[in-house]
Parts: sequence; C-alpha cells; structure tokens
Amino acid sequence: MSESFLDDQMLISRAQQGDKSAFNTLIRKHEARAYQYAFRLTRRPEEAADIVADGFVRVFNALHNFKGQSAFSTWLYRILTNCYLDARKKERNRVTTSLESVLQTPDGELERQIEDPSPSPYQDVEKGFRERTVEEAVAMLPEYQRAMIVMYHSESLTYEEIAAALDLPVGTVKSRLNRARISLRELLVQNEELFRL
Amino acid sequence: MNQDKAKELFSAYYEGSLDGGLRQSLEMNFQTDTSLREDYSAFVETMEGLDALRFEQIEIPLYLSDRIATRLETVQSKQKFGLPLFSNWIRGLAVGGVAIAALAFAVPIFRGDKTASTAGFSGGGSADHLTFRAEGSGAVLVFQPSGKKTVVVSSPLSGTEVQRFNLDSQKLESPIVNTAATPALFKVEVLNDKASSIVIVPGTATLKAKAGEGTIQELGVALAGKYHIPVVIEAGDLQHHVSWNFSSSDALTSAAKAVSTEGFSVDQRPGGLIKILDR
Repeated sequence: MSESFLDDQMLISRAQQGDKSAFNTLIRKHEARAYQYAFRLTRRPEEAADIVADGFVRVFNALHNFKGQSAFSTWLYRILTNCYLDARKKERNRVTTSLESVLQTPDGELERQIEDPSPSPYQDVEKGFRERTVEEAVAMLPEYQRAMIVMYHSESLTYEEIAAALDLPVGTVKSRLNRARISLRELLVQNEELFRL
Repeated sequence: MNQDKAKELFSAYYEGSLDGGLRQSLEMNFQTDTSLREDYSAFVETMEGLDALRFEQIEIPLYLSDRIATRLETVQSKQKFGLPLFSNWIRGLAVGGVAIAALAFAVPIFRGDKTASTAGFSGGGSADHLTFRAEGSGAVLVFQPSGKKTVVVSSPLSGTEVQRFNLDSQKLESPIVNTAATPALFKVEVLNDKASSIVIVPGTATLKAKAGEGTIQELGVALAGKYHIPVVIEAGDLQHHVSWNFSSSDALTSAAKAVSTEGFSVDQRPGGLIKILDR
C-alpha cells in the first residue's frame, strides 16, 4: 500500500466526517491528473474541464459510500470515464445544427462562429509529428477503447488498475486492449496517406 | 492457429507474457505467414507510437479550480440540508496554493548607508518600517532598520518560510517576481515586531472573474489577478469577509467599493500598487 494511497484514505475518512479542508485537499491533489486524463479523452479543454467538474460533483455525492475497496485515484478514473461516456452520449442525442445556419438575436441575424480545435500550423511543428498522428488516431477510436488506451498508455495504469476502474476482469481488459491496439493500427494504415506514420 | 487467433496474442507476445507453448506456436506462424509477420511489425510500430503518449505535456487551465467550485456550489444550492459550503475555500486555496512555488526573489540589494533612503513610497522607506513599491507588475520590498533586524517572508496559508534577511542597519531592497500564471500571496514580517504585511504579486495571466466574495486576502488576490497590480494588505483581521464586483476599469475604485463599508481604507501608490489597511 503506497503512502499516497494512505494519504487519500485519511483525507476521505476526514471528508466523510465533514472536514471541508480534507475534501479540498483531495480535489487539489487530484484535479490536475483528472484534467489530463479528461483532456486526453476529449482533446478539448472546455469539455475536459466540464468532465472533471462533473466528476468531482459525483465524488462529493458518493463520498459517503466510498469504502476504500480500491484506491481513490482508481475510483476517480471510473467516475471520470463514466462522465466522459455520458457526455458523449448526450452529444450524440443532441439535435444537430447546420454550420451554415444563422443565430437569431434581438439585434438581427448573427453568423455562427465555429471554434477550430485542431492545432495551428505552429503547434504542428512544435509537437512531434509522430506523436500527433497517434493522438489523432486514438481520438478516432470508439470511446470505450479510447479510454482503455489512454489509461494504459498515457496514464500508465496497470491492467489490474484498469480492471478495477472499469469493473472488468483483468483478462477482459487485456483482450479488449489488444483489440483496441489492433484497431488503432488499422486506423493508422487506413489513413496512411493522411498520417504518413 | 488462424490469423485472428494469432492477432489476439500480439499484446502478450510483445510484452513477453505469453506462455511457452503459445509463443512457439505464434513464432511458427510468423515463419510461414508473411502477412501475419507484417501485421505484427506494424503492431510493434503502433506500440512504440503509443509509448510516446505519456510524455505529452498538457497545460492545466487557470479556470479549472473555479469550474469545480462553481459546480459544487450549484449542487449544494439544490440540496435542502446544510452541507458544508465548499466553494470559497476551494477558490481561496486554489489561488493561494501556488504562492510558494511561484514566488521568486531576485537578488536583494543591501546598502550600508542608512541615510540613502530613496526607494520607499511613504517617507522613502522609513526606519524600522516595511514598505513596498510597484515595479513592473511585481513589487519591491524596502526596509531600513536602525539596528539588527530579521525580515521573514512566508506563506500565510501554510506558514512555510520562503526567505529570511538578517540585517544590521543596511537598507534592504528586494524585488519580488512571480513567474507563475496565477497571483502569489505571502506574508512579510519583521521578527519580534507585531505588524506584518500581506503582499500579493500578480502572475503572468490576467484573471477574468469580475465578481466574488471571500476574505480580505482573497479580495487582494482577485484585485492583483484582475488589474495586474501588486496589492499590500495591512489589516488586523485578514479573515474579514467581503464581496466585490470589479465593474470599474480602475483598480482603486473597485477596491474602495468592496471595502469602504467594511472598516478598511484603500489607497493607490505610484506605479499602481494598491494598499488596503485598517481604517
């Protein structure tokens, strides 16, 4: 049992008894890593921040049920993954709007401004080209596969930790991750011209 | 072993965790099936690409703590019973927590000539009295003791000591620079003296939040972040609760509006430094 695990257990125990500063410390300790995970899933800063905020609300609401069967960070990964999957589900259900449509405002019609989340040419040069192509391919994976790939390869979670976070047997995690890696390779091959990996 | 079955073993083979019999069987397939061998080479290449993902640098947005606090606040407002209010202290620590890491003291200047006091804004750094002046968006600590004195700089939140100056009648001028994005907050005191000052130095980013509430220290942080100016607080009750709305483009007007009915006075020194003190 690591020292940080014990620290979290102590903070959770105090937070469960109504200690505000303990809950705050817990947030401060985990918010950056939570954001990094959410950003790696979404590649969009605003959406990632919303997922993290929703995740901590779920933590707050369920804290009294947390019995310490797994590390707090593992539980948080599970919550964040669920927030991400829920957000994507909502997005799919949302009525789509034509990019060419105009917004009706009291002052008349306003042309719709669409944010381009893709990196600028400058950022492209800055970031390793190979790294970027893999990131883009990961972003094209189905959501559940993407979460597994990010947990293992970006967040350095073990198979056991991913199994605990997703409530799956370790063997299932291994086989699904293998499939996700093969899917990723196929995506890279299909888009070889585009990615030039 | 068909190709699909063989592909299921790629990860385990790559990681060296495949047991002997299956490993041999897969290796035999590689020898006889060129396309499978090529697939595995491509798989290895993908794994190497994936390994690079963990080194990606991701910038944490300044608004993250505030977003979390706001969302928690919304949840609490919908609940009927008195649960602890989280937002203020999350926000408060969010801005204060970075103070020590962000703070950097440039090399202080010590002058032996007691009469060469020209830097302070009130009486040119009067004897045995801490003074501060604005310099760029940072501040300069000026102190001219009449004998042996020790100046200690610490975090008002954690109590951690950041810097200590042992002086013997020299004049101290120490620029304070904050290289982080968010404002840095710290306490400056002369050992064995009752009075101390809270100094807030803005970071490189400008905070967008216009309205808020919190302690007088948190008001100082909000002012420094919004108007990009150093703020000095000399008040007995640093936990005094105030609310603010920075509707004015002028820092002094906004600060005065926030504290005028709360028993504090505000003035602005050359260079833009705002000082809040007990009335």
